[in-house]
Amino acid sequence: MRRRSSAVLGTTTACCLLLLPPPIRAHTDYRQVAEPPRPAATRTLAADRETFVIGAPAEVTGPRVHSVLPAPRGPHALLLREVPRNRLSPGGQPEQQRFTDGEFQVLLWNGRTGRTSVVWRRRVDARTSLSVLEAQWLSDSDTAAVQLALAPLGEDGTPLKGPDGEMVPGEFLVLLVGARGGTARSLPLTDQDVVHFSPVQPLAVIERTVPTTAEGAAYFEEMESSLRVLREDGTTGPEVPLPKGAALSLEFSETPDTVFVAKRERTPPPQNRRRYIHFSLDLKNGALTPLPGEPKAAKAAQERQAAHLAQQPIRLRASDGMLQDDATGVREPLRAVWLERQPHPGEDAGAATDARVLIVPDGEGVALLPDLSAALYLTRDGVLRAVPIFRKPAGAATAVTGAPSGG
Amino acid sequence: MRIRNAGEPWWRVYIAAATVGVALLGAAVASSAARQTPPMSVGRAARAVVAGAETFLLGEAQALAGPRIRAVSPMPDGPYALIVREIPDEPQGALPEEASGGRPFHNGEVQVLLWNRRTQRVSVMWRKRADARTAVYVDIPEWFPGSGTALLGIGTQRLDGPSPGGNSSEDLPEPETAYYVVNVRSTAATRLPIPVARLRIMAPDQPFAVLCDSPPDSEDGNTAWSSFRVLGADGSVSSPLPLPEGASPIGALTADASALVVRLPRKPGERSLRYAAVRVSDGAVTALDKLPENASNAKQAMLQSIADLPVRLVGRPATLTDGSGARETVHAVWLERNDASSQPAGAPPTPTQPPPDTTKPVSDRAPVRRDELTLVTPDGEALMLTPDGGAALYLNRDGTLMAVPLERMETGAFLTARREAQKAQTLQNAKQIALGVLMYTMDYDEVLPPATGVEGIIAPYLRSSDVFNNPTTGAPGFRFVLPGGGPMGKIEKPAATVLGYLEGPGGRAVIYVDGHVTWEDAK
Repeated sequence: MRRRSSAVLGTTTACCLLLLPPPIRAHTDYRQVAEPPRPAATRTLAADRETFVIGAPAEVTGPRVHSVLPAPRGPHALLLREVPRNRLSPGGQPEQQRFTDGEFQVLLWNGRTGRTSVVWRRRVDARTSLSVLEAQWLSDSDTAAVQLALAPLGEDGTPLKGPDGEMVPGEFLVLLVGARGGTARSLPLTDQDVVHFSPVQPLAVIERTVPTTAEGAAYFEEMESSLRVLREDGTTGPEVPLPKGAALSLEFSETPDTVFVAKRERTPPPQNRRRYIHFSLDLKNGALTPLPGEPKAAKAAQERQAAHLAQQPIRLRASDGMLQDDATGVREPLRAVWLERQPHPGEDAGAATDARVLIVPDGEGVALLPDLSAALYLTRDGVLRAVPIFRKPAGAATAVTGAPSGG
Repeated sequence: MRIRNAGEPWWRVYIAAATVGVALLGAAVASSAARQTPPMSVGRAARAVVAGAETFLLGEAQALAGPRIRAVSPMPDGPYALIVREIPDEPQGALPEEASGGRPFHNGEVQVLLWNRRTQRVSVMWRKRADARTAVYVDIPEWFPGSGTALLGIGTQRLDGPSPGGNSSEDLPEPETAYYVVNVRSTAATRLPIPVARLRIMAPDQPFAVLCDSPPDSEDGNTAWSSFRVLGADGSVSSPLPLPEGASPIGALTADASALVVRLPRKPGERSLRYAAVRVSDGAVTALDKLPENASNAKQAMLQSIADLPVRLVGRPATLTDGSGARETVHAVWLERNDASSQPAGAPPTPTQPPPDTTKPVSDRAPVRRDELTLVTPDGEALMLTPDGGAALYLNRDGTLMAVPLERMETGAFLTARREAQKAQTLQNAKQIALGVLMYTMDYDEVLPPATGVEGIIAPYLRSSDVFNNPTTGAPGFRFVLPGGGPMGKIEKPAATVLGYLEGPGGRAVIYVDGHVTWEDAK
């Protein structure tokens, strides 16, 4: 009975198909029932004593995603996205054009649930300049910070000037995006503020600089600056003044709550050479300690993350590739994204055919989550997609996939 | 120690960027957040297919609906499409498994979606849960031409009901089937109070369907047909009219949609097939000498419209290689000039020519001009073009339905615009080279770079080495003509001394020592 009922509903389809002249059917890929194209076999990558099983990619968001920042811990990623009003972009070089019509969005992706949420948005038009000055996760934290500057523009696209000829002030802010709550907290800044992110603690330092002279050699030496600690909960500490001219360099120490600053001065004539005096500053009490020489600063967050990923058994690699149409011979340059076994010291990973798996033939902006649970990449159209990765003991993977490990 | 680059507050940096017209967001991101994620590829050159007098420009792909897509039915005369989608109850992050192609669907939700190409919105028009107790079938939506309405056949079947004959699947209860009319204006799906027919035929270019039925007690579903009704786009249905005894509808109407074409039973000793036209208004039967060539239905007419477009969508294997020796076969989707529709616009329709066999080796086919074919996606499955050629639909590897908007323009205008864009690109690249040389000179005590290998020497000052290429051909196009290596101060007239040339479309950019650039047409 069930067989017949299926036939009842499918009879139309069958009749219509039979009627179609063969040429139309032959070259019009009209599918009555479209099955998703799936890889012939589950793809796996063997590395050390583990096998990594590659899942089916899923769209995260887009277009156009401009930046992807995986969280240092946990399954989240911070995304920066432009949503153009008109998706058709005939001609031109879009990457060299300012985004002038649409919405700028800050999004949060949760790799565990697969959900993406917009945590902050702002309309952008030809008369508004929106600039992302910095975006990163606070160290060892579930909070990310995005530093933004918005400025009004004139009709010619240059900064808008008031009747007095001075530039109309813009808006400056830092967003603190909490991955757990999926919220964004906005903190106003001024055009004199610079935000420095600590690579060792979940905090940032807001440096406010007031130049005493706008131009001239005395600029650096005469600068007056102060620091405020910005914590992941959005609160800020008291203002800590710096010695005059000591804002030339600011770096974090491996010691918590400590930053290094440097002051430049000139040796007395006739040498008249520049020299740097280094200080250590305790952010908790403002105590300033002169240092005998240049201190060793903490590694930047990016370096730490890169070092962490280098120790993992697999890595994500984008390489210039060439796609050749088997029917016409037409070639198209692509950017292929591969998941590879991390080569051992002195080993040429490219030589082994089972050392890699194709993630996508044309993608960019690749990122591997620190816990290796997913690979993220951007498509040609700026759509962000995620490929889940499942870690299995080598033996167990064969049972799961029914096939031995290999590309 | 890292000395701050600008040593200034931000506003100076971003104002400077705005003044020179650099993409603020891109520049800022490229220098900060995107250190782990290089700038993405949205900046690639516009994709286009030159198809005779018309050129099709491809916009950015839009994801319409996630897996699993079961059917896509574009409106033949408007910017809509109906999509049948199944959302299985699979836990997020589940291990990959083969798509459950077997029906009925009983572990999730079935949705009928409406895509409006103009607003780029997808809305749910109808949805139903399917579970272990109830399976859901949704037939392919079919449009009533010219009406903004479509017909859906939907069936539900109890899977846990009393089985009269035991536990076999063959003995499950009869499914409950129904017709729904969906309307794009009201975005509503209305159930029709009529029984589902055994065969429905959508009229070509007319807003009605013919529903053909078997005798109520017929067990031989393959041969017995008794009557037909006419279903209007508004849901109205006519009284049943009889079909000639033994007649079988062939699934088509005459070209003017006035009559249903049926095949008549052979008479004893007769070898050729006999046909008749049954007028849909009153059931009058007219014998036909042969099968009318122009007999058609709405779907066939729509497919013919797609086949007549100057471009077509094809999916076929392609080989991906990279410098490390990696090699992979993928299934690429291309938009290419349609050889079968190369007649000029406005020419009378001609019988459809067999298209070239895209599976043949290269040597057996006419060579394809590079601008007559463009990559839509390197790994997907081609579905179809919309009948008006306004969008290309394909499935991603994961089954997501994607739409790429297409915009038509006159080829002459396109080629002119492209040449101008490439010329502007050449000048822009030349300017970057000039700035790179100047920056090098400033860093090296006012000494110009050596004449040989200048591309590599100034590379650290450039965003990409592609600036040395001719934008038209992609081949290296830069020539450094200064002796090189000498002090820049010795050049008396930097604004009149040529540093080098960069080839472009129909000419070249002339780069001067002072950094300014001019255009020189080819002689």
